[in-house]
Order: sequence, then C-alpha cells, then structure tokens
Amino acid sequence: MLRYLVQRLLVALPVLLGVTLLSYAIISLAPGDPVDLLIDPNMSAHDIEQMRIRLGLDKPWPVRYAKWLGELARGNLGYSYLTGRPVAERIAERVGPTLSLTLSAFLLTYLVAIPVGVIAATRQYSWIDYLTSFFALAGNSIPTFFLGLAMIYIFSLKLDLFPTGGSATLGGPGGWLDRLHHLVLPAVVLSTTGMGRTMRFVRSAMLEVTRQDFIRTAWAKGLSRRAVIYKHALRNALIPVVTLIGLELPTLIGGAVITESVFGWPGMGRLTIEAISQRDYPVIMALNLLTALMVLAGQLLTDLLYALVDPRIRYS
Amino acid sequence: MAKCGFRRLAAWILAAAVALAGCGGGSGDAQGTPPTGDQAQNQAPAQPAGPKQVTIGIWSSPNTFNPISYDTTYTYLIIRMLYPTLLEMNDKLEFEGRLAERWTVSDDKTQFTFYLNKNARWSDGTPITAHDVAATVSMIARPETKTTRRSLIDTIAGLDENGTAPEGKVSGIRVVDDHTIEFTTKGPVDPDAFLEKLGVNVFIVPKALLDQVQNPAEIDREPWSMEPRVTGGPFKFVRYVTDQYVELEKNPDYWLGEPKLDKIFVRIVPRATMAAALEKGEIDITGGAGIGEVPVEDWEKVSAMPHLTPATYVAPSYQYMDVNAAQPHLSDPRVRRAFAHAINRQLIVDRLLKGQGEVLNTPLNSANKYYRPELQKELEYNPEKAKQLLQEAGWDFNREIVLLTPTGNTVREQSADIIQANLQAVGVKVQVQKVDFPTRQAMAQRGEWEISLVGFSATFDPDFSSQVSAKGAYNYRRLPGPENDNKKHYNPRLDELLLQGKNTADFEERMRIYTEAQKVFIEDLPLIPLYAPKALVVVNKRVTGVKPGPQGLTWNTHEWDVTQ
Repeated sequence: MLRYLVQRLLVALPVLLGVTLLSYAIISLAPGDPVDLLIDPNMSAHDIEQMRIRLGLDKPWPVRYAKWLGELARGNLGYSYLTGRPVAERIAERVGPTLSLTLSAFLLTYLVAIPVGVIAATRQYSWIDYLTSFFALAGNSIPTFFLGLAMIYIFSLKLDLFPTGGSATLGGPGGWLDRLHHLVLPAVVLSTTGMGRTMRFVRSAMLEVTRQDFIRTAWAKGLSRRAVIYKHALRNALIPVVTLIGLELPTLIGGAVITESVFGWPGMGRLTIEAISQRDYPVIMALNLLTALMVLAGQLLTDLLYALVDPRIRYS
Repeated sequence: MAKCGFRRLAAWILAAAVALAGCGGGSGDAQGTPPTGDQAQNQAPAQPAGPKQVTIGIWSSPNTFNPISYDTTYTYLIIRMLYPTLLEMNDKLEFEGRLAERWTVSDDKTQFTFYLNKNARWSDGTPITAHDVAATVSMIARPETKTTRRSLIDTIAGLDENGTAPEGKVSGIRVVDDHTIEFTTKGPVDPDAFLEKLGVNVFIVPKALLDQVQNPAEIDREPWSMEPRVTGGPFKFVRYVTDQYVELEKNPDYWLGEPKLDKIFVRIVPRATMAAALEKGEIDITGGAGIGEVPVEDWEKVSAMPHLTPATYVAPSYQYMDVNAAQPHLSDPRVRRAFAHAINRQLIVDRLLKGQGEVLNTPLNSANKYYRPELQKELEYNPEKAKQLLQEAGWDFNREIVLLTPTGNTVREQSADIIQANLQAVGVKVQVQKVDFPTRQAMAQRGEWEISLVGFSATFDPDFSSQVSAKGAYNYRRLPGPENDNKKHYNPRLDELLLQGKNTADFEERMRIYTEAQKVFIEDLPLIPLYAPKALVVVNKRVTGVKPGPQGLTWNTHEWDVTQ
C-alpha cells in the first residue's frame, strides 16, 4: 500500500511538470500582451517599454518559463502583474470563501442526492420516482445564471429573506450566522446541477445492484429491508459515486465562476477570469498548478477510497 | 395575476442576464478634477441612532490603493477620498482649493505657485507641507519608479521628454517655505491643463513614506499600497475585504471641516444584480462612468424608482470605429466618410443606449469645452451619399472586410451588428469578428486589421493626438509586419495642429487651433467617432450633497450627508 502510494506520487511529478510547461506555452502564445492592459492611455512609449522590461516580458517565453520554474522550486509563485502583490497572497485570501461555498454546495449535493436517489430506485416508477426525475432534469437543464437570478428576484427582492449578494454584511462583525445568511442562495444554486446528476447516478447504480445475485441471496436469507438496501446494496452502489466525488475535488478549490459572478462571491473562479482577461501570467500559472495538483490528488484519493468501499480491490 | 408576476420575473432576469454577459471592461483612467471646500457645518446630528453611512456600488475590485502606481478608475474613486490633492474640480468644472487654499499663475504662464492650508494634517497628526508635495512629484519623476502618472507632470522644467529626471531632482520645483511651493514649466502652458493635471490628479503621499521606499520600481509592493494607514483626505481607510467592499471612516480632523458622514462603503456589486441592490437599498449610489452604472436594460425601471434620483452626465470618453488607413483599400478619405454616412449612429444611441448618449463627429464630446456644436451637423446618416462616395473612390463591392469587435462591452458588441447591416446596405460586405480585448490589441499592433470598434477614456484636455498622430500610442494604422513599423498612416496637417495646440497657453488661441484641428479631422476622418454614452448614475434620495459629473463622484465627500 505504501509502495503504491510512493509510486503514484513519483509519477505525479513529471505529470505536473508537463502540465506547467504546456500551460505556460499556451498562455504565452495566446495573443495579447499583459503590458497593454496595465498602461494608462497617457503613458509614453518609453515608460511602456520600461514596464515590459521590468516584468521580464522582453525575453522569449522558454526563458521566462525556466525562470518561473526556478522561483517555484524556491517556493515563490511570483508577483501579480496587475497588483504587484505576491500571487500566493492573492490566492490565499480566496481559499476560505471559495471552500466555504464549494464545500457547502458539495455537502448539500450529496446529503440530498444519495438518499433521494436510493428512494427513487427502491420505488421505481412510483410518483416519487417521477417527481425526483423531474427535479433532476430541471436542475440539470436550467442554466446556473438563470437560476441564480431567479432566486435573487424571488428570495431577495420580493420576499426579502436574503441579501442580493456578497459574503458578509458591510462593516459588520461577521460571524458564522452572517456568513450563513449570505451563503444560502449561492450554495443552493451551485448544488442544483450536481444534485440532479448525482441523484440520477445513484438511482441507476442502485437499480443495477439490486438486481444482482447477492442481493437476491440477502433477501433469501431473510434480512430486513433496511439491511438489504442500506448495507448490501447501497455500499456497492456507492463505488461509482466515489469516482464522481473524486472527479469533483478540483472544482472545490477551482471555484464556481458563474455562481460567484452572479452573487458577487469573492472566490477563485472570479480571480481566474480576471487573471485570464488581464493576461496576468503569474496568477494564471499558479491557478493552473493548483488545479493540476487537485486533479492528481483527487484521482489518488478516489483510488484509495475504492479499496475502502470495495474489499475486492487491493493495492500492492 | 400569476402570469403577470412571471412575466415580470422573466423580464427582470433577461435584463440582468444581458448585464452579466458584459463583464470586464476598460481600464481607462477617467480624469478627475478637484473639489473645493465649503465650510464645514457642524450641525448636531438631529438623528439616527446608528452611524451615518453611505454605500457606493462599483463593478470590480480596486486592485491597489497606491496613488503613484494605480491604473484603474476603481482605485481613483477610492483614493480620492483618502489622499489630498492641491486642487479639486467641482461639478461646474471649476477649480476649488483643497490642500492649496489659493494659487497664482504668472503672466507668462510658466510659474505656478500654490499656498498650502496651514491646518492640513496627515492622519498621524503631522502637518502636510510643501515638502510632501515636492517629494511626491520627485518620486514620480524618478526614471525607475513604477508609475502611470508621468504625463501629468511632464511640462515641468528639468524633466526630459519622458517626464523623468535622474534621482528625481527636478529643477522646476522650488519649495519656498513649508507652506508654499512653486512650479516652473519648460515653456508657457495652458493653465487649465496644468492645474488639472498637477493640481487635481497628482495625489500627495507623505514624504515620510516615500523616504522609506527602497526600490521605486516596486513601489506597488509597499505596504501602504494595500493598507493605506497614513492618509490626508476627508476619509480614512478602515479595511478592504477582498472582492467585497472597502470600508472608510471619516477623518474628524479634515481641514476643510469634519465630514458629516461617519462611514462610506464602496461595495463591489456584479453588473447583473446592480439594479436589485439599488432597489433593495443595499447601495445608495452607483460609482460612475465605466466603473459602476445602472445597466442600460434596467435604466427605465431603475431611474423611475421613487427612492432614487437619476444623475446622468457625459463623461469625457467615446466609442469609435478605428480604420486602418494604411491598408490601400481604406486609404481614401472618401471611403471613410462613406462609412460614416452609412452608419446610423443615432439609431445606435436610440436603440442600444435607450437615448442615453450622443452622436459625435470628433474625439471631443460635449463634456469638453473645445466641443464645437456646429461641427456635429456633418457626416449625417445618408446611405445614398455613402454609395455615391464609395463609387467615386472606386470601392470594390466584391471585397469583404472584417470588423474586429472586442468583447466585454455589451452595447458595443450589439452595435457591431447594426454597423454590419448598415454597411451591407450600401454594398460593403462586412464580417464581424469578436475577440477578447488583449487579442484585439495584439492584432492592432501587428497591423493585421481593417476596421475595429474600440473605446477611449480621455481627459478634459482637448489633445487627441494619442489616437491619430504619428507618435500616438493608440495609432495602430499600419500594414502588418515589422518592416512597416514606422510606416504609420497619419495626417501631417492634423499632427502639426495638435502639436501646436499642446504648446499653446492662451485659451482663445487654443480654441482656434483645436477648432481647425477638428475640421481637418472630419475631412480626413482617420477614425469614425460613433457615440459618447451617458453615465447612468443614480443617487438614493436619502443622501444629500452628492454631485456626480464628468469630474467624478467622490470629489466632495466631506459635504455628503444622509437625511434618514
């Protein structure tokens, strides 16, 4: 098991290197010069050139990449072109708000989707199955921005239950209640798509498992309905769901661009969009690196979790 | 009833969704002007138990609070409340004293003397003196300093053509005494332009902070860039919550009088929900042209809300269709004039801006005092004339040209469709190509373009050479390829006039020159001005003393108050 882990981690290194090289090449070759976006209309050509040299943009991209890699090895992610602040700082201040939004949406998704999926499967073709299918379909097909704006219109503007956006009351003392109050709408909106998808996923996995021989055996043994469904069937049906969770891990830290934009949430998604539209290379690179790390970690975790839920799988 | 409710919901979402689509945006630096002080009236607060506070809504985050290296109007809006300037410009576009209680201009217009208010104090209690002013200008002048402010000082004697001087030793600055400072210019300059640039737009930073700067090339990394603790404006910095809001509290020792408000919040609100936040009273005022406005789709509804007062104005900016006149098929002025006659610019204003804007024929819009109403009658919408001009110029009607449209400004993107239809109607085949702004810039710099939509944020100075002259930073008219770098298309006569205007100090004389320059511009039409949008600003009726205008919003915050 330990050997397997070490092996996987060693493989991850060249993968990460490849990812950074590729993404550095792509953003450097994309049209557009960061300096164009930093200048004031009245700056002289001399000052603009000075700025280009200061940012090292006068050098070809492989040289800049090598330099970036060298700095990275020393634990320095560089400075944002846009603000001059350390990239690590800009990212760090968004980790908290991002995780609070994505994690609560994540929890909401699975806490609702798994039981509902199980109920829908055990009562196939009942009214409750049709109802959940309807919601799953709706949740999957309503665009996030539309749902978000509709929720703001109804729950914020008309019913006056929640603020229209933001993550905290202006100048307020903060506190978890205030946070929660601001979190409800975006978290619900963000969880909707995943909820519909996961619900359907759990339902079909359950349907498949409940038709297998070992479940028939369990029934024949005279086990209670609860034991058959939740102990034998669900545990097996969850194996593919674990894969799904692993795949979603990177989005937890990556943020949710549209939900963040609609609700003015200070998350990683908006930082990403800003960095790309301003060609803020150091920030883009750091975000790419972070995402690549999360993808690799997510896959490793999934594989390890497999062994946990499926006793047939052993790593050596 | 239910149906009606649903329709309202649908209409609201549609409007908001359009606003959501237009994110991002220019970083043009709106030029502001300065405020003057009224005497503070220290009335006893006749009311509310809670603190008096006002919230301003803006679209994006101010990425820095550094008054020397900043490059966006978002930052400008905020630091204008934090750092002192010598002067301010009021809503009538007149100068008012701030740090300077009075100022004089020599008869030959080369010497500007500012007499500073002796009561002015930094927030740490030390006096604000002429040494602070001199140190700030010197810091901007140092060649290695990272700054966007040099064009504001480049007429001062002792500075080279780049606006720099070794070690920031500028011969044109003389500290007469602690409260008097004198600037000498290289030659006679238009006093209005000088006072606007140096007086209104150079924020004074404490000398004590500047002395501690080790590396001016990284001045944007100084701690006071993100946490301005020693300031000297009507308000003091409390905190910035990333991407959420900036909190300011009043500076009770402000020398023009204690501000009446206790706090001002500047909140970052997505475009899509700006109208909702205004309706709910979560924000009181929109930040102004280009940084916080009511989306045009919501304007009718929001401006009619009983608790809001509309306060629109024309900012010194405009949208235009740039034409690469170095391309042989676009080099004939008749072709460009034909385009202008073919495009129904009034329709763009009426339909897309809901009438909240103006059509213009030169880069100077009605916010500029060199604006000439009589020149706006030409270039009227006339497809017949356009066709005729194209035939005269020998236009090849089989040719298809590409209209490059940067994304990020919804109205501009929609206008591309109207322009395409208008040009097709006179026989010019047009293909619209939408790209993000950085891509547009890259293509323009390589000369790989024909016509393109773009916007420009100007100052109140009438000089529009950056967009048209041979050395203009925004003149991208050339053929592709590095070998054509120096073969830019420009108009020597226009260049000469603009240079002459820049070096003339007398207002009447400048008016004559710039009127002539605008006439030459319309004849040659190196670019086709389309429209100048009005800033769609609203102010909650509970807030008093707010006077938004082309000079900005936060120029007189010490006079703001709330009534309930």
